[in-house]
Amino acid sequence: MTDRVDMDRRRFLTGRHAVHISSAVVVAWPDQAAALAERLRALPGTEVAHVENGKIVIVMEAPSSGELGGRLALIADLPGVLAANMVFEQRLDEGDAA
Amino acid sequence: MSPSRRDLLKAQAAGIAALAANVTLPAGAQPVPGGVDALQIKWSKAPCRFCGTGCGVMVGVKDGRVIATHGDMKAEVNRGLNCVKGYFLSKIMYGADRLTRPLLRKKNGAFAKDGEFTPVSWDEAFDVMAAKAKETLKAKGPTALGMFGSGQWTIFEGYAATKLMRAGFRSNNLDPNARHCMASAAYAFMRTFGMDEPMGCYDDFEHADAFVLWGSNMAEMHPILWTRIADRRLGHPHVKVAVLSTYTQRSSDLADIPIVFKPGTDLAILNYIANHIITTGRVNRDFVDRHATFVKGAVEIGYGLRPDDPREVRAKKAADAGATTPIDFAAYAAFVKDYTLEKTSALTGVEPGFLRQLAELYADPRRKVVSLWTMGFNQHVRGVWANQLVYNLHLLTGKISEPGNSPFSLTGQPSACGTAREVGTFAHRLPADMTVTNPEHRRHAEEIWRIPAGVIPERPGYHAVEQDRALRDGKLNFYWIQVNNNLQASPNNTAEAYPGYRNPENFIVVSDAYPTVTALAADLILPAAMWVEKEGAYGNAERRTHVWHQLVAAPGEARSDLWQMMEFSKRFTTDEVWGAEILDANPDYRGKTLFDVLFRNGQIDRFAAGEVEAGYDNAEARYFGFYVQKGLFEEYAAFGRGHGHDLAPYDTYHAVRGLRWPVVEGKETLWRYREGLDPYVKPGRGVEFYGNKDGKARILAVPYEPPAESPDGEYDLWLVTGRVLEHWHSGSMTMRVPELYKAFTGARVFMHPDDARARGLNQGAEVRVVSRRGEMRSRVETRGRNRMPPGVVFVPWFDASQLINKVTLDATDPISKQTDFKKCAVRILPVSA
Repeated sequence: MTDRVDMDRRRFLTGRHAVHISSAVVVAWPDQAAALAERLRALPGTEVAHVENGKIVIVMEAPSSGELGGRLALIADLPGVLAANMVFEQRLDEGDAA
Repeated sequence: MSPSRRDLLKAQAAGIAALAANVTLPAGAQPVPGGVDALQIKWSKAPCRFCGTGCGVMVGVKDGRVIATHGDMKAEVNRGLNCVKGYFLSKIMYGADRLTRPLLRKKNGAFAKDGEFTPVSWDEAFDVMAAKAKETLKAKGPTALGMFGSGQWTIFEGYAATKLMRAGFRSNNLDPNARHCMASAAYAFMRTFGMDEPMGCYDDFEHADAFVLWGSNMAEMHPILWTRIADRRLGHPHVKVAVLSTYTQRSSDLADIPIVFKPGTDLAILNYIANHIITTGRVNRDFVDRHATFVKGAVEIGYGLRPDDPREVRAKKAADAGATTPIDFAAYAAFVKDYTLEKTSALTGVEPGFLRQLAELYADPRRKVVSLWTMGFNQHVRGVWANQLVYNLHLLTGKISEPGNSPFSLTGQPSACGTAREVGTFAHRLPADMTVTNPEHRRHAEEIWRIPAGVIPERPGYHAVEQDRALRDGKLNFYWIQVNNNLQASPNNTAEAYPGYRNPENFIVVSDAYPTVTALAADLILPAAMWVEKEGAYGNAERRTHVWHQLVAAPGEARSDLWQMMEFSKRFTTDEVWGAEILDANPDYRGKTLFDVLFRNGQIDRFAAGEVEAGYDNAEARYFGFYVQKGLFEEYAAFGRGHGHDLAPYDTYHAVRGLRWPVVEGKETLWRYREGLDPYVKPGRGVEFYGNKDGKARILAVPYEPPAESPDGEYDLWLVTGRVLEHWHSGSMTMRVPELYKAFTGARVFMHPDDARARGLNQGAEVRVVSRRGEMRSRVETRGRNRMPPGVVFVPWFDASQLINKVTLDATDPISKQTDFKKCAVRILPVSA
């Protein structure tokens, strides 16, 4: 069960790889949101874009969409998280960057 | 990679998330107008494949493959959000062990029950299958033929199945896995309002002042709806959330009123609240007098076990479990008077203070309340009662059928409402809430279906649990299962389900996308197309019908369930299935195939294959030569139009993100039964429950009765089964997504640390979960998301390597025949013991 979308032979051999960027909304009690935002900032490839009334907008980056989703699953299971849902995802290949 | 491009993308991502979360970002981080569109992807809309919420997703296809999905910003249900499972939708079709060819058990070149699975052609598969069906029909007649379908069937598939079984094979042995999921809810709707499905919709969430979760864990099972509720709660400090459960779970984190009650005692809490409303003088008498009547239900109705079980022998009213007799308000008030705060607190184990606060949410006339429930109520030996008792509270206070006041039955499957209930794939039902036992309903269905009078049989067929028993007993011999993992889902499956599959008298066919536990126990496996590999339609929990196009081709020789049923129907002529009496009276039908009379009937075949929207393939239209889905939908819609179930013209649904029926004059209906909101309510009535002839709803007086099995000295713990966020139902799709598999790799026994210590068990210890029926091995979890009270353990059922249903009891609600997966007695032993 390999992640066939994210890896192909040509890309592997030429060293070209993709970056996946996504955003998610994490919901917490407002008085716990700042502390939770700090925990989220400490996760790899994760930035906190905004915190407002218990809603934390995060932007994540990873080499595969699977890793992003896995990180979302991890966040959803953190204590203090009421809900965590993905919103946007975009994949950037090296060649697409210009 | 240019950093500026990446930064731009991140700003875009943040901006869209902020929009979805309804918060405002600083100006520097606004979304880029027009969006970033770097990839050559074709995006199309579809509803999610998983739960009953019915989120809209955008599906991205490149080179014939689904490569991405994201939440649909235009979908009202989820407004661009995508839960953890939904995020991985693009991967569910691409598991390495996807089935791509029919597989038949063979030995020495021929079918053999004890043979090995061998790839065969569709022709050979259908030859053997038709021969077995004909053999069965000849030997025992149509009652020995059965089918088990699903709330995951598309509307077209459920509709084709009900025609094939009832009008084709003349058997009502058709039941959906929604029997295990929604039957109690559906029966309660019919018994209370005379019409199935909720009066309100998800828009209630933005109007309510209180939310009460009755046994539901929405944080894990309905995360998108939970996000909407959390949003309402956090944005409006006066809003209160009560979470009732038999253990502390993730939804409890948001609760102002967290309640953990002893399994089964929710019935007493419901009657206590009714008593509180009455004794504190908060009954809305005007509403009750005009819109409700009172009935008393039969009691001691048994547990749906086999008739020779001592518990059934003892039950006085098992044979007539659904009986009711009229009473008046005074009698009802006297009936619930027993449920005092003190007595209820003692029985349920709940703090009196919390019970009173909960009761006040309903009693306070200034507070709008949404009640929510799923399997906690429905998988309950008194599930129909539990559903009706919550309607009592909303009816006594008049808190119903208006924005924010809403008793709302959530669903677990994407089309439990659309397919299982609206189409009528239950053993006793026909489309649009009609039943096979009603001669007028049968006649009406026969007219719409253009088949001779008398073809549809009158007697309801075997329901889910009865099908297992009939297979084991050799009374049901030809059995076709589609889109579900019946064996993993069946209660007490070692004793009551598996033996039936391997009974040498029986031929079992399973249509699925993956080799599930059920498929591997079958005789013939048919590879199925899934989700966007076919054109489809689902109906979600809020009456929303949502349609999608075929977006990619199914792999190998996999075919849709619809194709399978229609193609199989060509192998039977009316002479083989309808009997001489009907054909003598209707000679025009003689010699025709079931395909001719059921599907090429001048109605379903009236839309040309060329009408499929340009740019989309449609494997069924191409194969059969007509736009099958549109034809099936329009014939089906004839049942509901003008009868409160109105659907829009089919093509409309391809252009919108679903519509909530009844759709009258192009407008959907958000709240039913209230004048001004529902076009079916007659002017001047204010509120009219028009499903019942008298326009009134029923308030039911029934007591607390204990579960079928409770812990004792020998089996000393309650077992509750259920689900987790990462895996959907039996895990046949989500366990094939590596990241979801890793996030929750295997089932565990959630247990109170004191219970573990008392048994000498540490966190992670391997244990045997043993009941009177069977046992399974698992590992102890004393930490984590579910915090158990002493005396109760929880085990999820998604894991095919740990079949908890070997342990559960096949007790059902005697009215709805829905299994209680939430209450039986077990003991936990160390593996070394």
